[in-house]
Amino acid sequence: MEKLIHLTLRVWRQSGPDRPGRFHDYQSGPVATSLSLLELLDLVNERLTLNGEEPIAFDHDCREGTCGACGAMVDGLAHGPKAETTLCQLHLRDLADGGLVVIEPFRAWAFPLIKDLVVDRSALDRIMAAGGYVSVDTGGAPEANVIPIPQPDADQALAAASCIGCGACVASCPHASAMLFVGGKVSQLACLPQGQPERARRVLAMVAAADREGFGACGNHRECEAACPKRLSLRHLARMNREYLSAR
Amino acid sequence: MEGRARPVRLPFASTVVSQALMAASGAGLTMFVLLHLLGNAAAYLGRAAFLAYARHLHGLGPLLQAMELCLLLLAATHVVTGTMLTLHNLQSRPLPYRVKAIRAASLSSRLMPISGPLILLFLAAHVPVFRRPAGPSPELILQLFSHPGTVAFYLLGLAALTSHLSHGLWSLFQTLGLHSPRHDQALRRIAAIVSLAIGMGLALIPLSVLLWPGFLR
Repeated sequence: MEKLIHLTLRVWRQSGPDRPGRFHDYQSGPVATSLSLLELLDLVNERLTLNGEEPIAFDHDCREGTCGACGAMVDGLAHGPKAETTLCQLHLRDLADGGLVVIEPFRAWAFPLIKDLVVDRSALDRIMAAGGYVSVDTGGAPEANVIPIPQPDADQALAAASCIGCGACVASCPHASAMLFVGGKVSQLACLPQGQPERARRVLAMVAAADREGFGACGNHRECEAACPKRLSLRHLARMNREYLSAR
Repeated sequence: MEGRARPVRLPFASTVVSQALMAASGAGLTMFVLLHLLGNAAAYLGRAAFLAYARHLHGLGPLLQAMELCLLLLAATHVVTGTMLTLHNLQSRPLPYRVKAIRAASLSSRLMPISGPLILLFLAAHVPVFRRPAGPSPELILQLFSHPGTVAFYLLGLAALTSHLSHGLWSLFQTLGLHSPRHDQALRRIAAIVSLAIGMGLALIPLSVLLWPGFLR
């Protein structure tokens, strides 16, 4: 017999960017702990829809923790209390029976709210467009092992590349800084031979883009690293600082 | 995104440059505090040694003035950049969370924008009293720190300094790109120990005057 629990969801409701927002409480009723929190929101939304009310808007896509589409603050923590998980992988078994669960959107000047829990994270895309790529000539795909890459470099690049762009680093940073996000991409490409030709230009352009978007400055609080569902290390941020200072 | 244009008060060239300025000027100021601590040690070698140290220091003449100018520049850089960064960071999340929990940030890291101004406030009271053409006399020190209120004020200022340094001394390595996970734990421990040693070391003189009747007499 599956365990059932009861939760009170206190969800931020806001019908539009310029509309006033407020918390609204929803009772879950008895629900199975195997449900994810997003599935519980689906249940609540079904009920709201049947009652002719506006369902809670929230972002989600793969629901298996790999795409980076979902994200909200649960009890003041980006993606909720469980470490190294995205919001979609937060299950009711991770929450206390009978408890109050406060769900709030990611808040940052650079993440303007669209509706309820949905925020516009396209600022991250614009940072990526500023330099988070490797320019390649068109033509056939080159043979994979033509350029030898030392294993430690490949490992670090792969770890840095695990960022899914969910924005939890920004959401949890006391300064709403995006530097772990920027650092991940800069570090990944700085570790690889393919990233070398554009190395200096990339870091300058990406940091400038992050500043332009209105993200805060990194104060080394380490909240980003702790909130990251992929546990991106601060070493990538340190490497980005190193890259930036030597590129100038 | 119309109507969202904000006065982006970007500190200097970029946030990364600003943070690097904070780290470098902070490192310079810490060097001075360490020298200050070393100078204070002269007081424990007796009254004559302290007077000799003060005389020697003030005998440096233009060299001392040049050092003072450097110190002023470092402090001005740290304060101006820090203020601009704080304003910038405040704008980055105009609407605060109604509920916010902390995962990893230390208390000292979150207190940086408070401990910084507290140190400045402390220095505004401390520097004019002790910066004299002939240097501080033992009488001045004895008279000042015989008041428990003054000692309490100093302890408060030094507590702010200890807190500020315990984050700053680790943070500057990360900002300057010198950090690696291999040395992280050691670096954090060293930062905590050094900042505590500086804070307690500097607190020793006011406490000695208050609690040790023979001190500097």
